[in-house]
Amino acid sequence: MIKTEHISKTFQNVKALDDVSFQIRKGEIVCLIGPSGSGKSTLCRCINGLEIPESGNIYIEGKLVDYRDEMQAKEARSKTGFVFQHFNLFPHMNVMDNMILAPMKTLHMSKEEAIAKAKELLQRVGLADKEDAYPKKLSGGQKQRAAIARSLMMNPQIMLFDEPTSALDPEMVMEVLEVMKQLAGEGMTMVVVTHEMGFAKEIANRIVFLEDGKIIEENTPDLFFSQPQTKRAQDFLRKVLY
Amino acid sequence: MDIQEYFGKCLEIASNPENYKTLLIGAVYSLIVASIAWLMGIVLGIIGASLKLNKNKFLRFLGNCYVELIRGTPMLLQILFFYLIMPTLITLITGNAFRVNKFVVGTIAIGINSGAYSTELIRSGIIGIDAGQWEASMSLNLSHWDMMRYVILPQAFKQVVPPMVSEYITLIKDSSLLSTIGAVELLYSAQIMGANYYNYLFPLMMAGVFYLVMTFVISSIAKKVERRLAESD
Repeated sequence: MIKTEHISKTFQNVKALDDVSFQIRKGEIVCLIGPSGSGKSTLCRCINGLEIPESGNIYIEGKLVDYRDEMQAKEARSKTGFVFQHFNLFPHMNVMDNMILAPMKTLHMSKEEAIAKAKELLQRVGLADKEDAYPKKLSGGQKQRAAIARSLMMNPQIMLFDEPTSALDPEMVMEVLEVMKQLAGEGMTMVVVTHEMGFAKEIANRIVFLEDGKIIEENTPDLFFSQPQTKRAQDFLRKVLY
Repeated sequence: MDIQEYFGKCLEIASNPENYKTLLIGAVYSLIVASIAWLMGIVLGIIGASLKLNKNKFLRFLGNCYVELIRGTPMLLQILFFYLIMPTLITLITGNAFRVNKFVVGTIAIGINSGAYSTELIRSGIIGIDAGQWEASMSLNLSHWDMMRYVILPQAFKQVVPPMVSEYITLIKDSSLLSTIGAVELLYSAQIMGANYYNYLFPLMMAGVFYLVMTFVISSIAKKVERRLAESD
């Protein structure tokens, strides 16, 4: 469903991604983990064309995508939804308007249709009573759930999550993870960049461990967390797990 | 003339209601010049900002030229250019005598000047919007136009309102430069009055009061508008 071949990306002489090849199949849930600056977010952002790698190929559903080409970018992005660490809701619109803007403008959904769909999705993420609220009035967890619902409005086949709970107060992490778990249960294909090891262990089909812009280890969660193969993964897990 | 006579003259001017009317008319002209120039500046500012933020190198270059040329030279020089040089050039080129209205050329000159400053205000309002807003719009597949129209510009607009109001206030004061080309706005009305009475104290001070009232009223309205805008986000 998604494939990257030998992609590299450099920020000011730092190799954020160094020849990364990676694949994800339909229905699979892959968690990208690793220390800060390991390139996991960059990989996630490259898949959605928010960063353009200097070299390498990205395939979405078997099709090579050049994100510098507007048509190709639009087609690829129509298949993916992206959830940001800082939510990036539109602050000057209430939740409902945040939800219906893109479907009306890009999918040419009618307003009634968009509102009906938005209500259904807000119900699913537990925000049925917040449609008139402005983002400023929502808690972090509510903002992130609204942002997830907003990207689901576009009917993505793949959801990309870039550290969706990193900017949240600890007591709000759970409610966002619950929504993601529910999504996973419905068979959504997901790429999740996360520091929530417990969550990764529970929902992922596969863990991809990155460090210094390279994929160091790739395994099922059971094996990865119980018997990490590489020394770097062992060190990392020792530091993050009690 | 002693100081008593000087102030006596002043009272004489102040007691004639016609003089207030003259200054008031001048003030209205100043306000009209500033308002039209300001609106023109906003339109030019939007165009200038989209040039300066354009992907196309040549358009960016054009935007830069406009801003640097205008901001790097005195406004008075620009007004004189439009009043003294441009009509002559047009006359020489077309062969027909080209006459200009002082207010019209003056307003155009101030508007073009204001456009350069507005370009920078609008541009910094747009680039001040958090990168996350652009990225969210991109990931939601909004077209460039829809992103600007529904996401970026409404937020930039709010940020740009306060500096745009001070630009308007600046223009009300700068419109007094048109007195140098003989356009009878507030300052020039006061000067003429002073010359008639051989006493400038009252006319010039009163003109100052008129400028103060105009700028004060505008900044008060602006404060209310800003508060309303702040509530909605």
